[in-house]
Amino acid sequence: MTFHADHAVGILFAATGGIAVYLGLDYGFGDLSEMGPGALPVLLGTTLSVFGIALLMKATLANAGAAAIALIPREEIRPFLAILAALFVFSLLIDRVGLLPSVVALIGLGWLADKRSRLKELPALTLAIVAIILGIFHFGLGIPFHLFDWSI
Amino acid sequence: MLDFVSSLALGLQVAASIDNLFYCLLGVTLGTAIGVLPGVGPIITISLLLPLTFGLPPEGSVILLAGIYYGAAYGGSTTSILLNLPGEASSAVTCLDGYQMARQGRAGSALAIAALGSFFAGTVGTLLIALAAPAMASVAAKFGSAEYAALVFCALVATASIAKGGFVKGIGSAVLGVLLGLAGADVASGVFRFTFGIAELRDGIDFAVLAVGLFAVSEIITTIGSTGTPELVTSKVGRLWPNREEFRQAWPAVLRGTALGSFLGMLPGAGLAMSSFSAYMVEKSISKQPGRFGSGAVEGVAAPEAANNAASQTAFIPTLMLGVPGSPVMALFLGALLIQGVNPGPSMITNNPQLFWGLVGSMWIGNLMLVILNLPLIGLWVTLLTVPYHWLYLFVLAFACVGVFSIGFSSLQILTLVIFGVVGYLLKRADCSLAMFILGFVLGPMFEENFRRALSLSRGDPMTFINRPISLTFVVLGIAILLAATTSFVRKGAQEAAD
Repeated sequence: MTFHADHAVGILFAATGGIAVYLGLDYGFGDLSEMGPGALPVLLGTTLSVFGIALLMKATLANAGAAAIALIPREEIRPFLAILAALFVFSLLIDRVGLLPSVVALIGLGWLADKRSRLKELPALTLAIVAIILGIFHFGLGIPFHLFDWSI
Repeated sequence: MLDFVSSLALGLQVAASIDNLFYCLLGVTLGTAIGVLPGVGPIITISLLLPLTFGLPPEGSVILLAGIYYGAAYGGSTTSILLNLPGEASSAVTCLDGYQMARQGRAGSALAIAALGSFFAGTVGTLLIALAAPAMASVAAKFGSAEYAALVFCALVATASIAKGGFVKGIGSAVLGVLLGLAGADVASGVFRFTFGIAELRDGIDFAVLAVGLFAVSEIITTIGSTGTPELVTSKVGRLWPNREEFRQAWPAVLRGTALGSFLGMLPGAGLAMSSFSAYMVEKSISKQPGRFGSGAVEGVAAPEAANNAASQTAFIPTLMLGVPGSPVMALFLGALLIQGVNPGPSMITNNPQLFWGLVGSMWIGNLMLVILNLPLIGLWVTLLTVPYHWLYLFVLAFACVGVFSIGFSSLQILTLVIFGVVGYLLKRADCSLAMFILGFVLGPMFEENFRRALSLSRGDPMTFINRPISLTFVVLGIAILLAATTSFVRKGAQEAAD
């Protein structure tokens, strides 16, 4: 048996459904005339688990011979890591150094995602994007960002 | 009748104010631009702009977002005809005959037919909203909680049955979305659900953050991985007016496309791509010379373009009058209304006549603007294609991040964005429908509220969903689709297992 993307989805559905039922029972089901906050999580969680198990069964029985499908194809590993790293670093920097340095870091890391990009384009591109972002959010909409924030 | 005229007059008056004209122009321009650019569609654009609409007046934000949506349906045809590159999925079939016409030196005619056909369809669609929405509202006004709960159930099942990736994954994604939509304080009891002790989650998941993470972040990753930058192909536009023969072939096709698209647009899940595709198939099957299709048949451009534009207008009817969106873009639109504190539903016309009729008025004005934007300015849009994707995605990324941060100035929002980016990407890769997920998220709280209220009104008797004729219809329809879809799932599974 090869591991198939449908196995992952089946496990996700079954597990999420199970958690929803468990938590829902804790929140209180109530009864039909006076449903508690846990009623929908229990009902929907059960449904989701049933669908999850059905998918798992089908993936195991029916696709036994099918080739495994990679959840992340090789050519998308680089953009996946680079984009998420860029967002994560932005979230770490934004409260500490202010908007402009954070956006520059975001662009720098995000730039690594595409192997076709050329380094010599990066400075001009960064400048252009920062200018447009500033134009829209800071000057256009007047949202009070801290542009630089070295205080911490 | 007098009522109708005065309502339309009110709408045009609201839409023609300087502010709203500006939002309308901004919307349709953005819509055309993203319609032209492959890799950036209306779903991403509306997600990205959601954080910015917090600050706009309700009319302005609704007019802007609607403009983006039908503008994209319009603009998607340009690149299909000139470059054989559909900017949107709904324009993919326009490539078949539109590009052939362009190769024969009739690009100008094709563009003009697409634009004029779209304008006609858009006008009919707008009139249909103005006529049908009040009628639908008077039906919807009779809906009680049982009917709404049954309607949401039926709509989700029907949409899942044609979802990408199959029914079981589709309905499962919808249930995942519903469960996520329940997170936060329960309205009835005040109990915090699925918050895991995190204080920021008590108000529930922020819709704008979810939409940006799910759609924009995952789309950037897959597009970088899969496509190269399209090469610019120069193509002569030629004479910008169809000749008499082309005109004669086009107008009946436009009429049929408009009728089909108007109908399909109102159904849940059908969407623009399906309406343009079916319009093309209809034209091909009723044509006396089906062989002409694929080598530059005028009807093959006129009908699908009219259909997808008509559908893009009538899709607003169920969204506005029932509060039940049929497609992910409409779900985003509904989310934007809720952010503005506007409750869509039958009472919207009476409670917010400015908003409703203003939107209708702006749609007609917007369609007029689109003809002007698309025909004389065609060269401008083609140059947009020279912007390479590896520049574009960095801008989208920066815009998404700064926009999400501007909602609450909280770095936690960005972390949430990262999480939903991962979730969205993996679901997409596993062939689960993100559209179903967001529909479930938007409809979940509405379903829960009505489901609980219906049962509490009937003192716990589940027969309340069956004793009422409208509710019974939705329940029977929903269960029939559910049974048909699960039977086919089981049968297919058994067959593959036997092989």
